[in-house]
Amino acid sequence: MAEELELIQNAKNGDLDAFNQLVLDYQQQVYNLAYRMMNDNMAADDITQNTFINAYQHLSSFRGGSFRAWLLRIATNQCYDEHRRHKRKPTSPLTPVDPESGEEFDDPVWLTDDAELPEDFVQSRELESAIQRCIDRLQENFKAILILVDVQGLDYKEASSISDTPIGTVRSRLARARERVQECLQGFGELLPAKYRLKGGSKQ
Amino acid sequence: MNLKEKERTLLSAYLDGELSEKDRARVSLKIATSPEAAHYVESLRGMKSLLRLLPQQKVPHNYTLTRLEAQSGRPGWVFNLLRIVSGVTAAALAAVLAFDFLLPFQQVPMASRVAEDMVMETMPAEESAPKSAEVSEPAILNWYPSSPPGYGIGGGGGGGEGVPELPQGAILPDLAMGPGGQIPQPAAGAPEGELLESAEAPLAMEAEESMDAEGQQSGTGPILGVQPKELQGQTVGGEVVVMEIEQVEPQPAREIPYRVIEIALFVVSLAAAVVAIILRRRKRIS
Repeated sequence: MAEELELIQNAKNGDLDAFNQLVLDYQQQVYNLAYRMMNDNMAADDITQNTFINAYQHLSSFRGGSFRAWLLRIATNQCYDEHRRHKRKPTSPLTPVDPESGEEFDDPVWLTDDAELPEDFVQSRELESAIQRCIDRLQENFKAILILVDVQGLDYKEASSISDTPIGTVRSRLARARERVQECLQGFGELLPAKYRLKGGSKQ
Repeated sequence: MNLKEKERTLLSAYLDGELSEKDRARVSLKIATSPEAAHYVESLRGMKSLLRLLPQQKVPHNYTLTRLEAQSGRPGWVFNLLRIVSGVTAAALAAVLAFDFLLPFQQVPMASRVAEDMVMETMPAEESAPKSAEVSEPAILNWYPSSPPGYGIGGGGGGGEGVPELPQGAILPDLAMGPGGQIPQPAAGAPEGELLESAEAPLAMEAEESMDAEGQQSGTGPILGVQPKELQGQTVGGEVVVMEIEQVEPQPAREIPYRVIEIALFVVSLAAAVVAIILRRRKRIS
């Protein structure tokens, strides 16, 4: 922690190497947050790059506290901006889309999975895609909280700081987000391993 | 599901260990006594485990910054200057607008201003008479027949160039003049006697009282008093009140600078903002 503070101070004084050390420490978390928020490698790449550039240029505005929360907040805001840009200028997906439902057709490649162990199964793209689809259906605010707490493993206080919302709001948004993802995942029941098969939704 | 939303929120937070001691004890009791609550918590726990098993994506490359990247998109001093200029001029514009629109409500009303500017002077008659004569036609005229055209006592009318001498009995019609100073002319064909009779009615007594022994008119009537000969044709009265009203003209010159300043500030603020945005975008693209 003391080392991190020293790196931050040096970076504030214009030491780019010190800042790059911080980049190496946090790039994984920033990239994963962006990836889960956008569900797109290219977008996550751009957002991560811009997050660190922005962080370096506005380092003087960092007033202490959790540097990780500060970085993830910049990344979250970048994701919101990207979502808005995407809504204004929608792009056509490369995968075929069902004209009736508007959803992408299932990719036969990830429908086939021979893994037997649950852990292997979870590692597969099949389950990951199912979960990611359910996350994508959430509103941005709910999605960010769910990813920060349940995927990234942050506590409520840090999630509150990153999303700039009170802890009570984080708690209620997280509960609702979990319910919605749970309901969504029930539609993929057969794809889930027995251990993780969700019997009986939260709202029945 | 019979669980209320607040209960479900507490159960969700219970999973994460984010409850106070008091709430935790309450929720634990609820889970122990309600199978529905217990089932809800278990299903959430399963889903949470599932989410935590999502694989961490490996970064495609390191995101360390080069000197060039660190400087890219950084706004230069021109951008900062333009931003400050835009902000300051916008604030100045707001101040000028507020001053322009709010100030009239705080000023003294125009009627009061006229009253203040009005100069009321009291001057002796001999001084004021010629002066006032120079300025405008006097307000007091003597309509006695033998007086020279022009000034004297009496009121109403004016503009006549003397009055032709009339027989004494014909004074009464003179008194019957209207306010415009015009002698009413009898209708065509009407006998002269009718006019004299009609004029007699209300003022005849006053006219008789004002006749002195020589048959001259004297004294002062309540409306059109007739002065003795020596006083006729002169301005009478101790003082004449001359009111000079200084015209307060609207001051368009005062409004023009406001508009000019407002427009200039608006243009400068807008131009600085637009140029700053363009510079910023160019920097980002490059």
